[in-house]
Amino acid sequence: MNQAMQYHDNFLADMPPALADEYRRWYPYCRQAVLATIDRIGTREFLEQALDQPLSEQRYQALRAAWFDPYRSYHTRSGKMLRPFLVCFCAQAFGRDPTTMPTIVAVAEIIHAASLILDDIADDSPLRRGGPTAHRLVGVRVAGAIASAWLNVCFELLGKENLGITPDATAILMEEIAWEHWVTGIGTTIDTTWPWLGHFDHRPEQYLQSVLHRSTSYTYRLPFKIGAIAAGANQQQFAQFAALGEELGLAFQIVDDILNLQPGDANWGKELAEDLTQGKITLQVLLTLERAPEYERTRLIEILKRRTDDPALLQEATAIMDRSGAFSAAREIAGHHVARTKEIAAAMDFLSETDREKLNGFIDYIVKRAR
Amino acid sequence: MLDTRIENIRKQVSQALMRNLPVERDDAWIEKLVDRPRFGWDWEALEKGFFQPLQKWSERHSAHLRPILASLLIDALGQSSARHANLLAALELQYLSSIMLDDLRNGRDLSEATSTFVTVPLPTWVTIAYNVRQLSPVMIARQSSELSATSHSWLVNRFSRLFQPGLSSALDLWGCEQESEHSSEAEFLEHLRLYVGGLFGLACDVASAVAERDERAANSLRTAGIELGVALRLSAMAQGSSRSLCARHAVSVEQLIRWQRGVDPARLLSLAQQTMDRALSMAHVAGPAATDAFRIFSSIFEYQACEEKQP
Repeated sequence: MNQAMQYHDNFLADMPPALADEYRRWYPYCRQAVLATIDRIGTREFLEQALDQPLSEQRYQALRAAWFDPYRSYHTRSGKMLRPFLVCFCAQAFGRDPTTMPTIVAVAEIIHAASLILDDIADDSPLRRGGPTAHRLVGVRVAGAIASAWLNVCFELLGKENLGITPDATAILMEEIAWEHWVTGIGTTIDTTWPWLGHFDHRPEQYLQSVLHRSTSYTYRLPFKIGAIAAGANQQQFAQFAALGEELGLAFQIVDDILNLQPGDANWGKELAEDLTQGKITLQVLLTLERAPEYERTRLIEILKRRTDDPALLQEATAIMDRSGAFSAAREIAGHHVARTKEIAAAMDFLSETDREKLNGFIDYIVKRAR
Repeated sequence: MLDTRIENIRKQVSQALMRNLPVERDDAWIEKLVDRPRFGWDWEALEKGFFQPLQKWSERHSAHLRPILASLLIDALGQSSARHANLLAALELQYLSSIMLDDLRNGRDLSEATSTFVTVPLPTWVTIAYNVRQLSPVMIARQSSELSATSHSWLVNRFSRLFQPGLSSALDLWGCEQESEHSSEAEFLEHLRLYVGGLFGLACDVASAVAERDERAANSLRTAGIELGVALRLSAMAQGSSRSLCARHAVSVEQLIRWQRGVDPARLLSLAQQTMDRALSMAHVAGPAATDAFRIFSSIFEYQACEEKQP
């Protein structure tokens, strides 16, 4: 771990050198912008203005303990700052200097970290980035409430401050963020309801539809949208960035699901096969159920229903999927979305050659990464 | 006469909620509020994991207090509330969301947090509450074309201010859990303004947007609504109801106030009266008709201890 930078150096090994250099260049600024914005939101002055009322010392300290400190700790443990980096990339592509809009750069990461608190509650995860999750620190209900406040604090920032973007751009940005917040919940409905319904006859396309409005949103589509709007992109350019984020998000999630079971590197940062332990019905599970012989399908469902962390059973389930050809089929689907992403990037004739190369490098990194 | 009027508003809101919240597959709804499906939704999961539990929740909580206030104000300000039923439905969604998690314990893991009121798994229920809250600004943005562009944008902005409810809930739970005392009555009232007053303020915002009130009048009306909400809860607390309001044959379940200050009932009633006076005086800035609407609204409440639990 690079302590000063708060990310693992080996994470850059998967990036093309030019992209890694660009990332190293912007990382300190992104991190500084995010932490400075969070710290400003946590001041009494900001809170009193946002709440339209004075705060006694006691209430202010209660807010610091329950709402501010647990959330800020997510940012000080580690974090790649990929989302702010993408906002900087977009701004630069349109000739805007990202350092003139630090709050805009910070918003995507603030939203992302808030969504992690909700993910941690849904999965009942004990740890995040090496420390206790928010709900372990302050309880499920308080954690849910603080996540909601952090998700929506962007509307306080965008509605009241001079952020270096036009009022029209601010209005569009607010509407887009509100929409992304909402559709992310609809996608998550599928994720939380499927294990409860207790049957497995869903279709792979239905999984992709839920991904489109779940992980795709905060991971890539929203950062690209924020960057494009803030940089003054026209409607067509905005639509291209949104579409690119969507395709890339789909490819990313499919690859992420595969890496959860078949990491390409010992440094894979998450618990191995935790998706199986949580009984998640991912693309490769559904592809296996379409392809495997009946006795293997039955066995896979049995293991998923057990919510087990027994390494032998997890290995057995992974082997069933592998034999069925599900991983290859999932990679093929991811490849289709990568190809589509590159088509969109190729059609972005407003990008310089250098920027297009960096973008293609980023696309390759997302799908070829081993961790 | 007043009973009929209140019942008509309730019916109007219930119908608007039914129009806006499908119980089964509804392609037009999903296309309008989400997007044109690219791969195809699993409708069974959406129906069982979102639409149907929400519809049941909505049917169980049909007092519709905030839409009634908004409706009375809209009519009093010379507009027709019947034309704006979608706005009233969006307003009610924020209320429905505010009470969905109220019976969960603040456990440190999911098994410690479950409640017998929740009929679907906890992660699904929490997601429903999240969806309902985040849906309302989008409903305003995409379904309120009858407003002028300026009012529309202003109201979207007001509905998007979901920072306050999250923060006030965290504060209420945390203050109670830490067993800390409010240091003064004034501090307790500020807590109530933030925690229980906000949605009554939002009801006033709906009326201000429809009636195209200027910023000063809208701010006064919102403050009046917040004070009104606090006054109602103080009166109910004085009668021993810490989470309900009784209004014309209906019980409205309200957010439980956990972080309280020990105040005797007589003092609570006196505080309620002072707060109500402040509300009426602030409403007057928006015109005498607004004050009249506030008076009519406050007259529908029956101050006796009513059912404390979820119906």
